[in-house]
Amino acid sequence: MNIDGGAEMKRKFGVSFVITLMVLGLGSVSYSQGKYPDRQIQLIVPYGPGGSTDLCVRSFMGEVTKVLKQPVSIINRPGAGGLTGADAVANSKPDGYTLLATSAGVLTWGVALDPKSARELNPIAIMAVQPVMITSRTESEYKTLEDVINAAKKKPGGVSCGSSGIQSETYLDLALLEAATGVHIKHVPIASSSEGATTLLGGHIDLWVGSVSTTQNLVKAGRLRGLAVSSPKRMRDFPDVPTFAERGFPHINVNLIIVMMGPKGLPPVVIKTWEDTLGVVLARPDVAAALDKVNYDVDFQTGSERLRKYFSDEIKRFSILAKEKGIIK
Amino acid sequence: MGRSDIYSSGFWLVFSIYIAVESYRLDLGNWHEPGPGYFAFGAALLFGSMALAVFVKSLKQTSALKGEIGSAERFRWQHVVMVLIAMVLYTLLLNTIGFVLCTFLIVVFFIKVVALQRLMKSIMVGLCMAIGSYLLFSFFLKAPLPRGFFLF
Amino acid sequence: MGNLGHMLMGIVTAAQPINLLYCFLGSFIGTLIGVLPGIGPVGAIALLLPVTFHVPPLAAFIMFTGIMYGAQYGGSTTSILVNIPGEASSVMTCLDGYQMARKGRAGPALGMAAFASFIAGTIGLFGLVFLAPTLAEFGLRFGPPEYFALMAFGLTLVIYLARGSLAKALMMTAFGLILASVGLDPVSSAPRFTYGIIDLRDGIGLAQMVIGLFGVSEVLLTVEKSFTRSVFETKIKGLLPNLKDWKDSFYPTLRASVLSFLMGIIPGISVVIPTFISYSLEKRISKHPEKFGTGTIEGVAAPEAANNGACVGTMIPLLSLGIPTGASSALVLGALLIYGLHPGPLLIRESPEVFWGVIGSMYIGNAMLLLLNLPLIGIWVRVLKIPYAYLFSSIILFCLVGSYTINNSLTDMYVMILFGIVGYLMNKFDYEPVPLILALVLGPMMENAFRRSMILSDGSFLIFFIRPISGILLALVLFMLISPIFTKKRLAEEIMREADE
Repeated sequence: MNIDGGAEMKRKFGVSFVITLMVLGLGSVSYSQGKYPDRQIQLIVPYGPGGSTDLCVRSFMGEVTKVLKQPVSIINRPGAGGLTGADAVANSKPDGYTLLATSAGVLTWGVALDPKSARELNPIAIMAVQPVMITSRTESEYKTLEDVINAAKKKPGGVSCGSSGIQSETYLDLALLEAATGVHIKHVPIASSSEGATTLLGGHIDLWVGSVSTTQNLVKAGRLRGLAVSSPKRMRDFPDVPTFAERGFPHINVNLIIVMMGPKGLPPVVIKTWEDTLGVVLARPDVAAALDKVNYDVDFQTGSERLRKYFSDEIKRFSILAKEKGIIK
Repeated sequence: MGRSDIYSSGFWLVFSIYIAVESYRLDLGNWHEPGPGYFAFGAALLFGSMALAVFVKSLKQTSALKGEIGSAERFRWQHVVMVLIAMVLYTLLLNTIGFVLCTFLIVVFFIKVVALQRLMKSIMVGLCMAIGSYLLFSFFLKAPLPRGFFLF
Repeated sequence: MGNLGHMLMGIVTAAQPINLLYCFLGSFIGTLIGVLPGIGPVGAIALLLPVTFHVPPLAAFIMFTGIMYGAQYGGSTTSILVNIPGEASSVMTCLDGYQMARKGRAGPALGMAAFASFIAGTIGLFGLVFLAPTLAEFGLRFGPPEYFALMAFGLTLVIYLARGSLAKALMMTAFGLILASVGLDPVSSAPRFTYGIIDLRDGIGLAQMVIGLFGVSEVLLTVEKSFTRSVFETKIKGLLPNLKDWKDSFYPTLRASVLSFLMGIIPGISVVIPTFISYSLEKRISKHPEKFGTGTIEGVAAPEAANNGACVGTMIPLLSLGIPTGASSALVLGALLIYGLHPGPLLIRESPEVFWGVIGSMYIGNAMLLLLNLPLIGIWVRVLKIPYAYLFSSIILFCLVGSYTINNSLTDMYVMILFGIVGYLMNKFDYEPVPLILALVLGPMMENAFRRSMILSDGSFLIFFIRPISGILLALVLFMLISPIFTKKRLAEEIMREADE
C-alpha cells in the first residue's frame, strides 16, 4: 500500500469532514439592522399547550403574523406556574425577537407571594381578559352570594370552596371576599380546574371559584349556578349572574389577564410596532369572535409605564391581602 | 443477592435517613393536618426500615457465601460511560451550536467511536440522521428545536 | 330511533371520504408521535390546531381521534420493540412485550397489542353509547376520600407486581413516593426538595423518567455487553398471534377492557393507572403468575386492552358533562370549542348529529388504526434487524430529542439521563422499576386526595369509612394487607428461600 496515498486519503477525509461541518452549520444568517421585524419572532407561552392562555394566544396570533409579515412562532415553556417561561424571556436579548404572552397572575400575585420571583419584564400590552366566577350546584341551598355569606357567618368553615390553589390568581377573588366580609370559608385546593368542577358536581365541595371557561358549559346546561362574576359588567353569556361590584364588592375584580411582555430594555420601535399591530388585529370583529370561542374578551390596553404601575399597584394590594390572611409573614 | 446488596441497601439506608430529616424540616404537621413533609417522611420510614432489613440480611448471608458471582462483577463500563458522556455533552451544547450540528456530532461519535465503524460511514449516517431528524421534528411535526448561532 | 340506530348513523357520517382521509392522516401522524418518545398527542394536537382551521369541524375532530389512538398504538410498538414506552400508558406493555421480542415473537406481540386495543375500543364504545349518562353520574360520586381509597388499593397491588424480593419492591415503592414529593406542595405551595432549581418546582416528569429508566438504561445495558445483539433471537417466529395466543388472551382482554373502561370514567384517573391494575389483576388470577415478565401474551394483551378501554372511558365525562379529565381530553375540548361545539349536556340536545358523528368517528379511528398497523408489523419487525450500531444511535437520539420536546426544556433531558443511570444501576443491583413507576403515578394523587379529605372532614379519619365506596375499597386494602395468606406467607417463603441459597 502506498503510504503517501494513505496520508492523502486522510487529508481528503479531513477536508470533507470540515466541509460537512460548514455545510451543516452555516445557513445564511442575516443579522441586518433592518426594519423590525425582519425574521421569526418567538412568542413564549409559559403554560402547557391546550391550556386557557395557550388557546387564547393561538386563536389570533395567526392574524398577527399576517400583519407583521413575519412568522410569530408560539413556543410552550410550561413550569413553575409560569416562571420557567418568564425566566426564559427575562434573560433573553432585548431585541424584540423573544417575547412572553402570559397570564398576569404570575407577575402580580406570584410576586406578592414570593418577592424573589419578580422578573425584570417590560409590559407591552394587555390583550384579552377572562372573568372569574363563583359557582354552586343548582340544587344546593346556595342560590345567591348572600346565602353563602350568611351560611359562612353562622358556621365559620362550614362552607367549602375549591380553587386551583393558593398560588393561582383565581383564589384571590375568594380571599378578597373573605377579607371584605370577615367570614371564613373552608378552602379546598384542587389543582386541576376540571377536577374541581367534577368535585363540585359530585357534591363533595359546596362552591368553586375559577375561570369562567371551566364551568360555563355546566352553568349553561343548568347543572351549576353562577353566584357572582368578577368582570366590571355582567357577562353577555350569563345575564343572570350578578357581578361582585353589583353586590357591593367592587374590589373583588381579579380576572385572568393575558398580557404581552418583553425583556427589560426593549427598543421603543419594538413596543410601538406591537402596539400598532395588536391595535389593528384586536379591533377586528372576526378576531373578537375567535377569542370569544375560547372564552376571552378583547381588552386592549397599552402604555408600558401605565401598565407597569398598574401591576406594581396590584402587587402591593395583594401583598397586604396575603399578610392579612397569614399566607406570608 | 450478596455483597451487592450490602452496598445498595447501605446506600438506600443513608438516603432514607437524609430524606426523613429533610421532610421533618419541611414540617410534618399532625395526623389531622398533614404538612408538606408528611408523606415523604412516611415513605422515608418505610424505605429505611426495608433497607435496614435487606442490609442485615445480606450481612448475615455474606459470611456464608464463597465465590459467588455477584452482579457487582459484570461491570464492563467503558461503553456505558462513553454513551453517557456523549449524552450530557449533547445537552450542554444543544443551545450553543444548535440541533442539527449537535445531532450530527453525536451520531458520528456513536458510530465511529463507540461502535468502531469506519469514519466515512459514520459521517454519512450522521448527515442522514441529522438532516432527517431535523425534517421530521422541525418541519413535519413543527416542534420547536434549539437553534445555534447559525441558522439552524 | 334508539341509541344503536344513532350510533350506526354516526358511523355512516364519519365514514365519508373526506373524514376517512383526515382520519388516515391523523392516524399516521399519531402513530409517528407515539413511536417517538416524548412528543405526546397533546403537544402535537396543539401544534396542528391552526392547520385545522380551514377544515370542516367533524373532519378535524376525526383527525384528532386518529392522532390519539395512533399515539397509543405507536407507543406500544416501541415498548415491544425497544423497551421504550412511547407513552406512560405503554409502560406495562414493555414488561412482557419486550421479552417476547427478545424471543423472536415481536410479531405476535404487536399483533395481539393491536387486536386487544381494537376489541377494548369497541367494547368501550358500546358502553359509551348505551350507558353514558348513568356512568357519568357514577363517576361523579368519587370525591377525595374515594380517590384516596382507590389509590391505596392500587399501591397494595405492588405486592402482586413484585417479582423478586418483596422488601426491595417496597423500597422502590417508597422511593417512588419520595420522588413524587419533589415539587410544590399541593396545599401550601411550599417547594419540596427542589433545592432552588426552578424546573423542579413542577416535580419530576413521568415521561422523562420513564424514557430514561426503561429506554436509556436498556441501551446502556446492551451496549455494555456487545454490538452483535446476541440478546435477540434473530429468527422471527411468526408475524401474527397463533391460536394458543388467542386462547390465552381472550379472557384477559375482556376483563381488562371492561375494568379499564369503568376506571376511565372516574375523572382524573387517566389512562396509565388502569394498565397497572389490569396487569396486576391478570397476574394475580393467572395459573402461572411467575411467567409474567418473561414474555407472556396475556401480559401484553391486558395492558393494551386497558389503555384503549380507559381512553374511551375518559371520553364519557367529556361528552356527557363537558368536563375534560385529562390532558388529551382537555385538548379535544379545546378543539371542539374552537369550532363552536360545546360538549356537555347541551351538545347532544342541540347538535345530535355532531355528537353521534363524534362517536362514530371514534369507532372509525379505532378500526383505521387496526387496519393500518397489521400490515406494518412486518416492517416493524425488520427494524429489529438493523445493526445495533445504527439502531442504538437512533434510539438515544430520539430519547434526547423526545425528552426535550416535552417542555422545550434542557432540564428534562438531564432528568432522563439521570434516570437512565438509575435504571442501569437498578438492573445491576437487582431492583425492579415497576413499583417505582407505580408509586410515582399513584403517589401524588393519593397524597392530594388524603389532604383534601382531611381538609373536608376537619381532620377526622372517619370520612374514609362512613362513605360507601371508599369504605369498601379500604376494607379490600386492609384485607390484602393483613391477610396472612399474602404477606406473611410470602415473606416467610422468601426468607426460607434466601436462607437456602
